[in-house]
Amino acid sequence: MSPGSQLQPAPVELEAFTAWAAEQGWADGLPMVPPTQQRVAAMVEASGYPPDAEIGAVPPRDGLATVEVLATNAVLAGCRPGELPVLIAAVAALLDPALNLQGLQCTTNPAAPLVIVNGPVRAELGITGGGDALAGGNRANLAIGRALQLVLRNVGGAVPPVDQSVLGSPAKRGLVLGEHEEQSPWPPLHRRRGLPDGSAVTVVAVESLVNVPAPYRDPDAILQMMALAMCNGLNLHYSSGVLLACFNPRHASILAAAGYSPDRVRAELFRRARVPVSAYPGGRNASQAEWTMGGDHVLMTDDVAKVEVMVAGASWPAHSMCFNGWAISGMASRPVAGGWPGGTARREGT
Amino acid sequence: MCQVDAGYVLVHNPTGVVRPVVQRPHEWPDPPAVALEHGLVIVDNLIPGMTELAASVQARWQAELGGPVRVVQVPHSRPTGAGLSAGLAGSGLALLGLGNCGACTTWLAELAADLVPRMPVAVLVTDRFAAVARARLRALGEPDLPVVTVPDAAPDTPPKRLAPVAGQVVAGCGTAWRLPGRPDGAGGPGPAAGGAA
Repeated sequence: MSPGSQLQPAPVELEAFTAWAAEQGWADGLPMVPPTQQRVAAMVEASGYPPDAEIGAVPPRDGLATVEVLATNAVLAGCRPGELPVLIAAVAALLDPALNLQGLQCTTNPAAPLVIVNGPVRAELGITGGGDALAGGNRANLAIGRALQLVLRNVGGAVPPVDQSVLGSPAKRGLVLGEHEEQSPWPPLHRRRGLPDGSAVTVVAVESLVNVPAPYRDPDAILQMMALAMCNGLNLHYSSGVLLACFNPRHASILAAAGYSPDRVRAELFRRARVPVSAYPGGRNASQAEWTMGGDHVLMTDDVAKVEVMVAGASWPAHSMCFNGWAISGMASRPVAGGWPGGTARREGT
Repeated sequence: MCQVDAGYVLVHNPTGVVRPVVQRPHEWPDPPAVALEHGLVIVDNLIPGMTELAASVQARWQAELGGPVRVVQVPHSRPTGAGLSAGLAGSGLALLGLGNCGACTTWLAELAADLVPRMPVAVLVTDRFAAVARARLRALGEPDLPVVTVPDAAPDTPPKRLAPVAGQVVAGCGTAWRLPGRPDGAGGPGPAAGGAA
């Protein structure tokens, strides 16, 4: 067993176990699979990681996330064994200081991590990035997202009153999305972020999902609609978070055909995503101390590097989506080791 | 292998252990018999209401206890940097506030844990965020670091009505730091009105 593991007797029957798990404070309100020694061992074995490999301490509680502890949460969430490496990579990415996980765990905002998955692991596990990908009905997306949230609660201690989110968000039940690489005109997100070929996750803390219906063939109009969508959310107050433009394949193909590379799209969105100071209410507004100004406009983020582009969703009709980031956070990417079925790569932490 | 009753099975615990943190030694006496002559620095993280509260605490402190009181302002999402270091230099006490959001509270807790080996520190938070501050401080190995609280409504209180809140803060610091003349913090309203834990 890893240093984070402790065995204890629990009811074997599903309903009784779920009630018992709730009494332990492990639960998220849904039925849970008992993390028996056999199930956890199978999860760890399929990952290719040693059970005691330490991924890191999850704030604010600073519980130690070993591979075995993550496997335990994955079993609780209903993951299949091959899905553990994605969870491990997502936790490792979330622990990057750029994410400010300690703040994310306690914030009053409805912020939650979005896990974007790239590479062959999407097909291997059935992680979708196509039509209706963020809705229910896709087991891998849901189970991995749920497992990550259980890690944040169980290992990190992000439950009320430490989790101070005023209303929460459905995203806090889990948010996993594959990039639709097969229908993207651009290199995949993880390659553009400097990771090698293979599978990877990129994590960003998002607080609002804004639909961008843009029935245009004009790339300028599509960019303008996306920029308008970016002028929402907490970035209005802090102008420092990530702005993630998730174009559907149709919009992406229009932009690419017009000569827009991802970097050119990012630069153009950075230039356009700004709000005139005159649009803000007057009076006391201490958040002005956090603004990044561009003339008489407030920039929605302070660095073009915080504008990112990806491709997902159905090819038709012309809807894209803007993920407005939690304003005091960044992005991080990590490779996914192992894979399904039976990955063999062994990593001493990530 | 452990024996378990029928209908039961051994399961793994999903919470992970918390490693014990070795508390660093403080360079100042503990409990602190604080000399006020070095003064208090109030770190104002510019979260709404803190600038007004800092000014009110500054006035109340000087009226009750005397000694220099300085206010250092830092952006709440970036409570670090040369300005902060310069502001803290030479001070005897540090009051870090205001924790009234998840990020700012955890950042203030981390800053406090970083400073406390060098000087007595307290974190100032609204009641609502006391649990967040204490959770983070506990994980950082400083479970006894003082958390001084103000009512949740304090950030929305007009400056003219902040004097009682400032009094609570000064009293809370008195309890936390055993200020001269307030050996038990008894000279002020006490924890019920301006808690320090």
